[in-house]
Amino acid sequence: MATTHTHSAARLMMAPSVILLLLWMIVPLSMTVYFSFLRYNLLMPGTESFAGFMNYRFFLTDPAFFQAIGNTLILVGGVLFATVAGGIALALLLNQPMFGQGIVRILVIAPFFVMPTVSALVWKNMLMNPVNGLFASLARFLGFQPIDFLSSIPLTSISLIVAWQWLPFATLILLTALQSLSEEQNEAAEMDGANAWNRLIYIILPHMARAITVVVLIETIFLLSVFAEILVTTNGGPGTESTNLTYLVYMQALLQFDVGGASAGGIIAVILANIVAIFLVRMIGKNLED
Amino acid sequence: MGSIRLENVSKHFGEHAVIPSIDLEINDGEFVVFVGPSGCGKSTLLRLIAGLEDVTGGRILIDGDDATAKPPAKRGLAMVFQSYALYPHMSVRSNIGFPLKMANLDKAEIDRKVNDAAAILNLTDYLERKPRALSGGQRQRVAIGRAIVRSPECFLFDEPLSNLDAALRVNMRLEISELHQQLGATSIYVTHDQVEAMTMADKIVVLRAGNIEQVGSPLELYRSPANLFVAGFIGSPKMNFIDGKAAEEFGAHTIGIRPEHVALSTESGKWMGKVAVSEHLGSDTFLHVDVPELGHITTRTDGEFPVRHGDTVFISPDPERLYRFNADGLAA
Amino acid sequence: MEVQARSNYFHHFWNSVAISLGSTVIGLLIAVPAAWAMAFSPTKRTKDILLWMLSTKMLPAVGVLVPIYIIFRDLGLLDTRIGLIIIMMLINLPIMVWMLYTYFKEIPGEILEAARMDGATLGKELVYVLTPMAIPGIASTLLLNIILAWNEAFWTLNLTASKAAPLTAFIASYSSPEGLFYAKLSAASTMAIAPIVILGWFSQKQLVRGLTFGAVK
Repeated sequence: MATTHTHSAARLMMAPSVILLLLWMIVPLSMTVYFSFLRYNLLMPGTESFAGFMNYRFFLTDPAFFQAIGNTLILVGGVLFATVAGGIALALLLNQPMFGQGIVRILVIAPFFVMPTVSALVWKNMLMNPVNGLFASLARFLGFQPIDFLSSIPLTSISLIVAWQWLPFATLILLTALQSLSEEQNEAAEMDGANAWNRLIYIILPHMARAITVVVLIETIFLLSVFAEILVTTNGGPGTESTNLTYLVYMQALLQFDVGGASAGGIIAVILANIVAIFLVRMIGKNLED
Repeated sequence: MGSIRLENVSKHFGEHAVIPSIDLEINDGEFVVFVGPSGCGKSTLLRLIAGLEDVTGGRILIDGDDATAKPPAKRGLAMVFQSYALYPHMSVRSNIGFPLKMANLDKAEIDRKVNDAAAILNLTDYLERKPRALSGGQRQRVAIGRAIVRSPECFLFDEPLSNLDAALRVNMRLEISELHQQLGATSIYVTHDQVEAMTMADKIVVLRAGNIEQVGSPLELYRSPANLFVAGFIGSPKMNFIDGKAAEEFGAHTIGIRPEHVALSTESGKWMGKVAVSEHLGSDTFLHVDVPELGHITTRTDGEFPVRHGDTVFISPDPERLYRFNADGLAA
Repeated sequence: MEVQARSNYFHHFWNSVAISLGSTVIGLLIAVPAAWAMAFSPTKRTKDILLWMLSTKMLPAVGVLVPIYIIFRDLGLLDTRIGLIIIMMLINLPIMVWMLYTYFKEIPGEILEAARMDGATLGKELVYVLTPMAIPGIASTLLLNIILAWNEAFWTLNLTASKAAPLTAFIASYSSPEGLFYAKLSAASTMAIAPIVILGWFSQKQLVRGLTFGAVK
């Protein structure tokens, strides 16, 4: 273990991972930074020229950009709220001994393993479709006028789909945290005269606090990049009503072929993600020490 | 056979000298116990002998051969780890047989030796089980079995009993001592528990901060500790230390009185004090007495001594068995 | 995507299998030694390297979409399986290293020392002690990464057209109803999610550990 010859071997064993990730991080990112200062369109090769901050200015003055930022925040915030609140409730429920616990758990966790394009299409065509969808039939059965979810409330609908996908993740992590709470602590609290509600507030939730933070941070990282769900349901529309930052950059790059503009948008997305990442990395780093 | 000699052995971790320099002679067939408080370097010293750590300086001779640069397996030693370090995916049989398999013995030979070891250790009925299906004491025996099948020159034990409960610990202590009598191989045993050291050792090595404080048989250490540290470490309950005027009376900077070396009386004696706590064990009575000027004195008497909290008692030290120390803490 | 491509469901199924398996196996070959070194021969910088690896995972994909697209176009990697295998491997490499690291950390050092005392050479130690003890962790990592790669839907959608398109991209082409739409969508979807839901059931515990980088166990 602690003998000397092992250290150089260790360095050699780490080298491939470190080098690959270093390349993966530095090469494309510096290219993005470089492109973001160019006037560069894929359809007009050879006409690249230095543009200064034009791309950023263009992006930052585009009303679509602010809508995209707003949509991103609403999507992230809404899904976080729904999954954390729902996740706590489901975790508490699943932690109770009950009949068929195994089956119930599979069903609750399953959506996480459904690929995003499939879940988005199933929601779009089988649940939210204004003519054939289940929700529409249900509404008609109850005597209401069915609504066209994806055209009238596109962002809410997408949030709903994404929340459905991420609820299992939150549930699973919170359940794991809940199961690590020692039964003795709960019993001690009971002996001290705490009722179920008090135990939730003073014992269970504080115990889960770290897991909740982890859920929030990790989901945020992934939710900032929601893409497939938007692509197959609304294409960002109507207009830009359901366009988030990721989708906006995608449109700029691969639909309008504006490399410079898309790169500027990409850099803005990187900066936003980094703000979250700093907190997450710190927290996990602290965790490494114990 | 199994003699081990450390010459000027030192170990540094970076700038930090865990073991500044140690010389030690261990004779063939001896049961040697390294004892000391945690962080004294006793485990490090054992690991240096095992070859699990490289020495920074000095030589380790096993049977007169320089083994300093030999890999662990080539030193003819076997080790029992604190956590037992059993291979969780192997049966008890495979665990015990593993060192033999590594030595490329044939199957029949391995089986024979494993069965012998299992018989000695009462593990015959458990040979096909996995370690997780065993109790703590059984796991401990498997770890010992893995060590004895190799018929090593020397056994190394790294705090092997610290994960067992008190009753089991006493049992295993006896079993290890018995095994040592039976096998006759040199054993080095690391512990922080002076009771284990006193009961098992032929020779005790008391360590503090990487230095040897004293080497000797259990009774030598008990009767003539070289300094305050050894005096306070060996013996239970701990020796009482008194300095100041009361010590000068006996011509020393500090005097040490073992709890069992005092005469107690409820009527008269040298020092008067009040009982703070009395512990009645039936066979013995421990009194914790507050003596004005001297502080807290612990005493031990055979049988019953009927006093309670708040009672007045008189304590008289046995002048024949009083330990005197000079200002440097050395026995005078 | 063209209409005729849709009939070829199994073509895309195999793309998914090839990409998720390929990227996971290559990733493991690279990640196992790294995690091994960090767990058993840690230095002062090990923690920083781990955290840095983690931070690469937090780089949003759109931040590098444009250059990757251009590099792939220039190298002829667009719409190829090998291109996607490389990307999937890279985006999941930090998770693999982390997961393996947390598993390897749990193998007690004393066991390795015991093996050395018992006379095992490095090779034998690897075969008889380390590998059997590490296999559960490696298997869990394998499983979780197959799931993540199977379901990945940013790079697969942006870097493939039809030839190398895995199921995620193929199914996205069903975005407007036509013909036997519902039947087809249901069939395709079921086949796309069934294998992974089963794998997912086996790996739910590891999923927590992998996706939280060991912060919740």
